[in-house]
Amino acid sequence: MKITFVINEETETWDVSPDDIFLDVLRHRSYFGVKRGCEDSSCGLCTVLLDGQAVNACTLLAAQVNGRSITTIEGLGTRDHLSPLQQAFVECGAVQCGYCTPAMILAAKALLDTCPEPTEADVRDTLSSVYCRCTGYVKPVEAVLRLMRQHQGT
Amino acid sequence: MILSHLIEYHCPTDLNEALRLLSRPDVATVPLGGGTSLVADGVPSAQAVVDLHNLGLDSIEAADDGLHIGAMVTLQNVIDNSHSRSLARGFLASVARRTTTRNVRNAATVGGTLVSANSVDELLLALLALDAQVVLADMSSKRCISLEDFVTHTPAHLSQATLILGVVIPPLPTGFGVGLERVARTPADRPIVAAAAFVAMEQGRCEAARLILGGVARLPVRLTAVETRLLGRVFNDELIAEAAETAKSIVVPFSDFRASSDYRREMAAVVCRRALQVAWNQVRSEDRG
Repeated sequence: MKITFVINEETETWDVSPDDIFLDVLRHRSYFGVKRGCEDSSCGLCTVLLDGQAVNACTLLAAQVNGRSITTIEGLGTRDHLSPLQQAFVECGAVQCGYCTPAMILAAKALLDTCPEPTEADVRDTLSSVYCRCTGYVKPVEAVLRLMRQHQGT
Repeated sequence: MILSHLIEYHCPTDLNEALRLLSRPDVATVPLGGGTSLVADGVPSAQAVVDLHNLGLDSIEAADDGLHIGAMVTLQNVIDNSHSRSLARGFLASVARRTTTRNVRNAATVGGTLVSANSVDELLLALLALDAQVVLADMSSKRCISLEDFVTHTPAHLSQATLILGVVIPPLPTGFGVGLERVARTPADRPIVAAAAFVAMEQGRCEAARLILGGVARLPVRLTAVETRLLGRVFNDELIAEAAETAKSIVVPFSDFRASSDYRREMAAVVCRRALQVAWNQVRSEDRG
């Protein structure tokens, strides 16, 4: 079957099978920002934005993406021009092994896009979608709050 | 592959078409909500899925007969929507927020919560305490049954060709209070034992009570024997303690790797007592205005 959808602002048509999981399809097509951590929506390392909302690609059938809009980490920033969230993570030292970073960035982006002034509790709630074994979440939370304060001009 | 027999994906825009697909005898067809259960756990025998995304089941509406929450409303919608977030003084929304992570809440649905019928799903316990009704549709009719009946009797007997359209939470009486208390390994973990309590009081006397206990049986249990003892009585600490002891005496919990039967029984009394206390405190603080 074919799915037609927007990925990182480009419309694409992909050939998929009804039983294809979107995480697998993405990685087969070299979108390596999504990671295979649990395959059952426990770890969040496969986070993508589906119509602007963070979801786990491992429990999404590729077929469900038809007609929808997807953002992956590959759609945010470039090597030379990091996105504001990526910049904040770097400046705060919020990246250690980096395995969870794409997922955290996407989850945080979804939060800030819909809620420009989140509380710390909101930020923690958002980032707790993603397992991180390195940082203890301290610097990632700080990075998101720092970016929010920059936007507020404080 | 956990859905290795899946050869068909459908995303109908018409409810009757969805029901027709689900009632085909020759193709094993299952409904698909958000995917967080179906795709995670897999249904090895499924040959076809019917995605419910385009059936208009994702709205929340306030009506005279109560709050209507569509089956495809996500858990995050329950938290964000202005009607559901204010229901029962924010009880439903705060419970929905505790159930799972943001990513999963963005996809998991209210209908999925009912179908999964997990004994310690706090949203399910809350809906039971609020006397939610379930709206079901099959090829010939639409009907409404209590969530209690749905959970205890229906899943195993549901023909594949029945869909949950949504739930209706009836209007709450004045003088109500609700509480949901739990014990778990950590604050963020799923409960080991949890109790949801609803009380309605009139001049200090209990006019209505619902007490739902999770984590002692495979499905949530409604403690009608405890409720009966509360009706018509004036609430005080002694009555609540009596209710908790009654709960403890009537449950026969299972044991598993999370907790022994003895632990579950002890905790049943604790969470029942706490939930009733919270509910009663709410009534009293509302009275004081």
